[in-house]
Amino acid sequence: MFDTVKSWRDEIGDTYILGGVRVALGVLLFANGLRSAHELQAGYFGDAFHWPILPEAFVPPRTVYAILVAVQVVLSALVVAGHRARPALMASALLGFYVLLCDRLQFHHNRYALFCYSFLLFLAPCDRSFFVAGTVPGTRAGPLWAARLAQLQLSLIYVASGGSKLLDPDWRSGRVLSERFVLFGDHTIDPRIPSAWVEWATQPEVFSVIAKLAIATELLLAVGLWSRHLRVVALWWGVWFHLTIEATSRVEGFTWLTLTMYALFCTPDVRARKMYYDGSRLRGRLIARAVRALDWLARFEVKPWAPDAIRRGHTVVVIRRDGTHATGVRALTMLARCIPLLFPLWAPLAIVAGFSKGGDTSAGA
Amino acid sequence: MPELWKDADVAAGGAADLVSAAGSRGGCRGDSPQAERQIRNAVRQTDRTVKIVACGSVLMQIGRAVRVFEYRHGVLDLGPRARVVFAACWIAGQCALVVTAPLRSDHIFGFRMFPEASTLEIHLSRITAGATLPVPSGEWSASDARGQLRHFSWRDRVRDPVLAAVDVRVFASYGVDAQLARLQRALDDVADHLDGDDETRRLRADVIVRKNGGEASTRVLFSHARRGG
Repeated sequence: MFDTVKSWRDEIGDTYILGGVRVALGVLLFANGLRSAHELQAGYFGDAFHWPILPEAFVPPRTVYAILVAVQVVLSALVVAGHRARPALMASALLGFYVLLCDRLQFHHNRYALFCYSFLLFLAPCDRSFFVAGTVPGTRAGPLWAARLAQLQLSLIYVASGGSKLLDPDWRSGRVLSERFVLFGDHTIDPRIPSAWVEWATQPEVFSVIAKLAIATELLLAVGLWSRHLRVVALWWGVWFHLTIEATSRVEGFTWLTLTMYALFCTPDVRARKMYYDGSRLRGRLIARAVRALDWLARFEVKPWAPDAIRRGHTVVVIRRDGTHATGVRALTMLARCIPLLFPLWAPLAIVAGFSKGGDTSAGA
Repeated sequence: MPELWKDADVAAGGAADLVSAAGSRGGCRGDSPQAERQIRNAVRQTDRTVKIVACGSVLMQIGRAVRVFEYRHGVLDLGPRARVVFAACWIAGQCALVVTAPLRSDHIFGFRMFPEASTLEIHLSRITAGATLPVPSGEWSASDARGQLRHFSWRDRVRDPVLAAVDVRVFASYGVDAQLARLQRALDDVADHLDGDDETRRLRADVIVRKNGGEASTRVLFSHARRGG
């Protein structure tokens, strides 16, 4: 136990991904600031019924609140730009907490989670990559304890959410999901879907299964994300879980916030894999350009090659961490595994790759 | 009142006095409505400017303090022992908030996503000296102390989309308990802000609740008695 705590406390790693997470949090904070400004235009919350947790005297007057909203927007821009990003993250989080404490009617889980993650990330060296202003850091390596704490926060949210559903008989039986469908289903079901399918999918037994699956998903994600062997499967399942929620419910920025935090579960290194492409082919050059543009987590070192015995006939060859080569659908699977926008396709591609012959070559071949 | 607001308000008040005095010296004593309006506009403008300047100055000072703190004390990079202490406090705090969520009527900070699929339908009425009168769509008229009829609307104070929907069945986001707790507060708040309504003693809400699609049940909430009521 002591060794685990010590290794967590002293872990040092590449902080490149933390910069990317910081930018994404900055964008979400910016969106949150704009929403507050928009709501302020419609009317200041303090002029109407509100429910502060703090004493009423600490609720800011309209002018001060307007300034705070403007400050939130400016701070989020600093977070995105990477200029004094960590103090800006801290201030954004504290201002966010303060506003939530001024009116609990404005409380939403996604907003609270956003401020929690911002506060934790300010304690991590997230200002050493993805910046357009400020001083260039000497090294990108830094302590990762706060990033790990943010990951733990994500697991805690899953446990709290899944646990509360597990303890609720209406949730376990699928009654909550069924009733949500009754209330909102008319707006979300495409009329082109055959009614027989809709009837089958809306049976109580189906909702019961879906409810249990949702609860199991949340509880297993809390654990699976930490397992070296299960992580990629857990991440893939979690991505689809949240995309499904995004498509069927209004959750403000919660989907994008959680998917952003998923990036923290990536191994903290950069360009540990290589992607070689045939520079003499247009397709190779296009794939290389796409991978360079979309490889936000810097998983690949992308280089053209002079075709040799292994690479001849292949447009793209991926060299994994362990030095093995992948071509064809296996190379595509590796790209999908590491490139965020392609990641939802990873599992089907991996299944196809599992049935395909060839495409794998050892490093010494 | 926190110092920040107090400073801004005091400064604004002083500026208002100055403008008022300037108006008097310039022969504009506020006798005519136009002059009065000019003075009032000037005061409002100065009030706003002074508040903005005062708050800007306070924020700059906070920023400077953060910068000094950051570089002199290395607050952004905690030492090994501080990391463990901070993490222990953070995790304990978050766990405490999650575990105690059921004790809070609206379960906030508990991360209970999609807790219910319940609906409510709020019907308002007001209790006067002699009767309970319905308040259709949250609108009513009542006499003030001089007997003059005045119009009131629930939505003048209540803008929350769930609570503002009167006589309509709406989705109870965050669950029935959360919305009933909010409604109780809203009733008290509106009762406290009925200046000019000399008839209403209390507000009443009959809420038809359907929890997770179950049988409808009615819950009755009352505002506290109005002062002098």
